[in-house]
Amino acid sequence: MSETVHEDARADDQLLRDHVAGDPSAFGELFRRHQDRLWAVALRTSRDPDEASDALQDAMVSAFRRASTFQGNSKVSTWLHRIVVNACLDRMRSRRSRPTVPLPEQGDYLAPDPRDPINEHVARITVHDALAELPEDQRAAVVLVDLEGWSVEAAAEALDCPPGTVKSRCHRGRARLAQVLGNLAPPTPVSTTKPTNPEGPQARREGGQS
Amino acid sequence: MTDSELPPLNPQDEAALLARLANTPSPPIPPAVSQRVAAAIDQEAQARAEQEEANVVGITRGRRGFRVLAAVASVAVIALVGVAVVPSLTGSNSDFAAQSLNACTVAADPAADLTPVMHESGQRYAMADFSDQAMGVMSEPAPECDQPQGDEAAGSQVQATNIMAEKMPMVRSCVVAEMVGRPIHVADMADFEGKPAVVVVAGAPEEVVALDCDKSQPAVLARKTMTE
Repeated sequence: MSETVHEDARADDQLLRDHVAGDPSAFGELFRRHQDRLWAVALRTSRDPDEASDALQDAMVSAFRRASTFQGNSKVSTWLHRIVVNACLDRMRSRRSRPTVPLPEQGDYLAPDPRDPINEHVARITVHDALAELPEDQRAAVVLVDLEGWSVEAAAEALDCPPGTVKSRCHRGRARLAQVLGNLAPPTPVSTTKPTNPEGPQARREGGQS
Repeated sequence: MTDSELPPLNPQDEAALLARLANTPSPPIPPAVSQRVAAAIDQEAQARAEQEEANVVGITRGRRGFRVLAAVASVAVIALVGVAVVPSLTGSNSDFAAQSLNACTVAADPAADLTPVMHESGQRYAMADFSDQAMGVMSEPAPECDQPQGDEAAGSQVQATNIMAEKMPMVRSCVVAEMVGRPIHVADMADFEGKPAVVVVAGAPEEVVALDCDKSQPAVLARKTMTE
């Protein structure tokens, strides 16, 4: 994903302070700045694009209203991601108590993009399907740590559980994913480096925008 | 097969899996979703702006109300000084009685539609609901203001106001000593639990205090702060 050039040069924490102080456009800018990452987390955690869309909207409205409670103990982006993840989990728990029949198709968001290499699309759809096989707690941990490149500590903070629990969930989730993905050929080329999120909390700790 | 039955990943497989997950492209947010969420945020911002505007109007109205109360208090003090202090200095109670008849006229600024300050309502205040009784008195004009101005009516008014005139200096000093610094909305010379008392409504939010002003030092018989 290409870097987006933002006209607003204010840092995230400044935008949030300005929003609390009454700036009507500050929170919108904060959302625009992080919307792709927030959407990716919502979609991968929820599995369903409609649920992800609803959860993302719920989360942003909630964050808008609760901005004054932000303590500044974490990055603003971490705080936003945490609200999105929790909104997704809340909706899934709610939906679990009201079971519905899932639609067979996955939606337009997975339609092949003619500009994308075929392998990239195959990798996306298969990993997405494999993630759907994981229990929600394992999926949330794998999404944040292995796909979004968060540190275990940041994921633990977002998921409100000990780092050891995140490690355990990731371990079990990976084992399950390996089994589901076992018959598929790995996409080429394969990098063996640990994933890092260029906009995520892990990367920002190394000097990115707060 | 449950999670506990899954075979552990060997390091090579785990590395390959992690690489594959890391290389999975992030789906960009669909424009429709982006617009929908942005619209929800804009709606929240608009609702917040309207709420803040409503709060500002509320505060302005509150300040205006406070200014009216302050004006009432100011006029009341002037009226009290006019009807009580001046006669006591000149020693002319009969003159004061006549002036007292006009006290409500002085206090009731027609332009501001203010209520008179001094009452002699004849209420028999009870501990259980004295504050409600006092608030009711405050909402009514002073009796002497509404009475007919004919000769017959004037006679009863003079009798009533002579009683007020006798008590006025003492009542005034009693009320002012107890309510120092607070705007006084009503001081009603009446009866509280069977004893002569002055029931005062003062301050903002209003506080209702029943005072025994027959002693050298005012004694508070009851006190209640009114809340919305």
